[in-house]
Amino acid sequence: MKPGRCWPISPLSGILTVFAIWTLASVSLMAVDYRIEASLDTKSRMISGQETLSWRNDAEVPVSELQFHLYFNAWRDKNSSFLNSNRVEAADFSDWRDGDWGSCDIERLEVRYPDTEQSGEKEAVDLTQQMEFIQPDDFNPQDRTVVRVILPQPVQPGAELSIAVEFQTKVPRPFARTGVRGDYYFLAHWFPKIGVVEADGAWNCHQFIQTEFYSNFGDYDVELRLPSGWKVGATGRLTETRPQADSTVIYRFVEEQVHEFAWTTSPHFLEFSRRFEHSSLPAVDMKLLLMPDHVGQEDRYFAATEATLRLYGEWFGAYPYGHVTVVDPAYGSRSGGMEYPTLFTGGTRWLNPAQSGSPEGVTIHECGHQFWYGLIGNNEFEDAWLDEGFDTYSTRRVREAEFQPTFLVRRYFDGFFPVIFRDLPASLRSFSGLGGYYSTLKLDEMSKPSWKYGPASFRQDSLGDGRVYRGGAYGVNSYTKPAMMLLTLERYLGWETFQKGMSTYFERFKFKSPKPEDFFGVLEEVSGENLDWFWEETYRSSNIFDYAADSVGDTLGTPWTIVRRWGEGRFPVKVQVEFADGEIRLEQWDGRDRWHRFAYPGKSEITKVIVDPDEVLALDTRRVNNTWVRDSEEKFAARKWAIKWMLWLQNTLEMFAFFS
Amino acid sequence: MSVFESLQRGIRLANRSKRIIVWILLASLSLVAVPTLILSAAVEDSLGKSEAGQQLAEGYSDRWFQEYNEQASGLAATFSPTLTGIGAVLDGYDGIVSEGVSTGSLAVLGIGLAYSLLWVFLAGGILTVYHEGIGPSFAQLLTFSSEYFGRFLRLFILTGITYLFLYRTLAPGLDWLVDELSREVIDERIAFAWTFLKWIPLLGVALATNLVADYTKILLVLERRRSVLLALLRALRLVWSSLGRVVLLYALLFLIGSLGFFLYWLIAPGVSDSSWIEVLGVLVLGQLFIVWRIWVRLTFYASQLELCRSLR
Repeated sequence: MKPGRCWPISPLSGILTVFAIWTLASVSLMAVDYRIEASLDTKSRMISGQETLSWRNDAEVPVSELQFHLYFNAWRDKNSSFLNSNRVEAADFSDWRDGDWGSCDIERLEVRYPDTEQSGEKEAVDLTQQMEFIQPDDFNPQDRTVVRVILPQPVQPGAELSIAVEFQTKVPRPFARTGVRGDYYFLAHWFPKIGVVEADGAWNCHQFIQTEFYSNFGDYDVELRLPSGWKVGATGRLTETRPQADSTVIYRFVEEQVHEFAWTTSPHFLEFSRRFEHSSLPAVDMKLLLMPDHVGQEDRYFAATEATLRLYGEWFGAYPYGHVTVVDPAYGSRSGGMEYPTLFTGGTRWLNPAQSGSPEGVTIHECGHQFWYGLIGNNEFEDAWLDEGFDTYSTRRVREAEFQPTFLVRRYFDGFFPVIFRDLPASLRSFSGLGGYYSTLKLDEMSKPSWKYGPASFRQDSLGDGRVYRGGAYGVNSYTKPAMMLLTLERYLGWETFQKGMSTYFERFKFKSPKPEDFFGVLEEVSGENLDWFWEETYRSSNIFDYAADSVGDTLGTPWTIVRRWGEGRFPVKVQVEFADGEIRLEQWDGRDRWHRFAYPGKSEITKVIVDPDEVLALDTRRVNNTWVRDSEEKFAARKWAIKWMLWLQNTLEMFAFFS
Repeated sequence: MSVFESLQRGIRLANRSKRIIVWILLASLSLVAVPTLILSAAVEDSLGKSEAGQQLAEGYSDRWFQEYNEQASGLAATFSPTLTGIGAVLDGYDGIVSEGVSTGSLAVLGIGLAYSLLWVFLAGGILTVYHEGIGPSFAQLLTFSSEYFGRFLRLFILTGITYLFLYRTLAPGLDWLVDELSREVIDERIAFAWTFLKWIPLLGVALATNLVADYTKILLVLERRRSVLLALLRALRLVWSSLGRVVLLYALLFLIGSLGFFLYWLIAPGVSDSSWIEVLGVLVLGQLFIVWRIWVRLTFYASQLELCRSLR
């Protein structure tokens, strides 16, 4: 920190404050607690901060170094691994200026060892000069998102270390999730954040490349000094507001057992509050920070948040924090659709017709992350599907229960004017991001660590709102495929068993960081079934599932049907066969061979065949070919739709003609 | 002659052009027939003998479209459910302000070019017919048209270059300007205001080019000029000297066209037609709207010709 530049207290008092809060921070039993003081200078777009961490070595062996994430260095320049990763390789920075780039610099780092009988009073050891950037994942020497410092002496298992850090963060123009636009700030992973030490003593501190995050749970006590008159929302509960003489205000937010601290501020926010109440779930104070161009959409935000707290709470487990802040992101801020503990961002547009599915969809999804991410704090660097996939599955369930129907929307004239097509109901397949995965499904296995997922181009989402996300292997393996996998399991095991499995998993692993095997174990324990064959087909392979009603015929008066397995994936399916006399037969096929023939001597003509009539196998990539209907209307349907297309083509020709 | 008299006479002339409208409609149908059959085959193929056929016959199946869309290519990939109803019309207008003419496939671009050339060919004949006040036979129309085709083609290339400049140079420049002005904007309404301001010069240049090209064609016929460039200069002079009347007439014609558009928006059929009779109804209604659009284009020519005659 450069004393006096942005931090409006003297260097001496600053140092005293650091050491005063040092004592406070070391009382929790959590792996790491943070006490942070930060000041935002809106002119220079800099944050000056001091943090004190009380960190405990939870490993079974001594730890001889510390590793920190400096996430904002991902936008330090074009050489970072983030900006050279597969997911953003096509990004255009031609309009970025010098002041747009971000950074996070540690200006001073000191550690203090625990009291021992020998050492007496704790001595601070300045390790600033020992810091070095490391690149454990891609060895890109230009990447500065992870910093390491060798300790003068190892920290013993179970021992605590106090760490004091002074830092400067330059807030970037928003690129992904965080940054500043105009006088709207959204700040996430903005401070030096310690990595996670696993049980074997190894640091799990990945570079910031293409995934989300992983941290220990802990207590956060954060003071933010902001310009007077600016509204603020943050992780935690606001416990103190102290106006200062220099037209700033200090806001203190405190939260226990969370693994991130994010905040937002802008003078333009409109603040709305409501309370969620439920007979068997804890009450939650909901706060919405709404941008002025979205006034009138507050009910939609609250309805979606309330439905999520209620249904996730009933299905999986209670939301325990008692408050949640919903942030309506500013236009162009690229901060929409993100989750942080007790705070999340939604996303909507100025003109946004009812039943368009948004902001409801994004609100449910991000609020749902309070459960799958906020409370189940899995390692998103490696197993992103454990929260994104779970949440995509759960979002779909809430939408199906409370927010149907929705219709296709197309936005015209540079995307400003939406037209809703009320005769075109949208399937949840498209709105949940469940569509479009056929082509990307084979790119990688789900079991591959998320940060290693291979390259693929971005795809535009089906809402047509201009957002670009969920690209390639990362998208399909983190969101779509696991959501379909869970839906398949729900239907295979039955909702009652599956829900019991999900709630058991939730209860057992909340405030922890489970691995995929933990989930598999719980589900097998609850269902009493060995599901290893299923994990093999889905989690550990890139197989696709595609069953079909292939053909129907009659040989010497014996009607028959052949069903096929076009995909590599195997799954037992039912086959429903309907006859001209009205009889319906339900067959069971183990689905292992490439095809199977069902013959019915003496029966009347087959009129309809449905493979997997209950749609248990949600992972089936092509559902249309699952049915065969004798009196199908494909010719009529094709001509009807072709005529509609023809009218479009004729109108397009008239447009050409007018300007010719 | 006043602007309103020109408009009235123009409407009367266009109303007498029933045969021309029918010929153009038939040409339009001929051009789209084969692509429509190709698309129909692609849709039929994707449906197979599945239940989705029934769902699409009665309404819409988003699940089918998701699967279809994942695998469609070429002409078949231009299909989207939102191209139905008013979407069929909005898509074209959207192309003008949002990104230039958007066709989605080379085949559609080719068909569009062919149809444009047809209009380029027929425009000379149509203007001659209106100028001479005759009800032409098909052969007469072709004869008149062929007389001017070479000159109109050169004009088409010139206007094409202008549109190319518009969408390749001016539009990206305006986009850059809007991006700069909206760089720190956090209120979508303000971003919209800047974007709206972008549309004014963009549409202004496009429509001005169209207007000047129309008067150039008219003068080529009225004055039997050989040089397109001289006719163009003459048209520019004429438009400039009578700017108020010329623009007022163009605006009135634009308004008439817009009325038809909004009326069609109200009655544009959706996707619930589930019998051949209903499909036929959709087809007829759609063709009536195409007839309206052809009539509006003819009214542009006829009214502007009348005004031009009075201004010379």
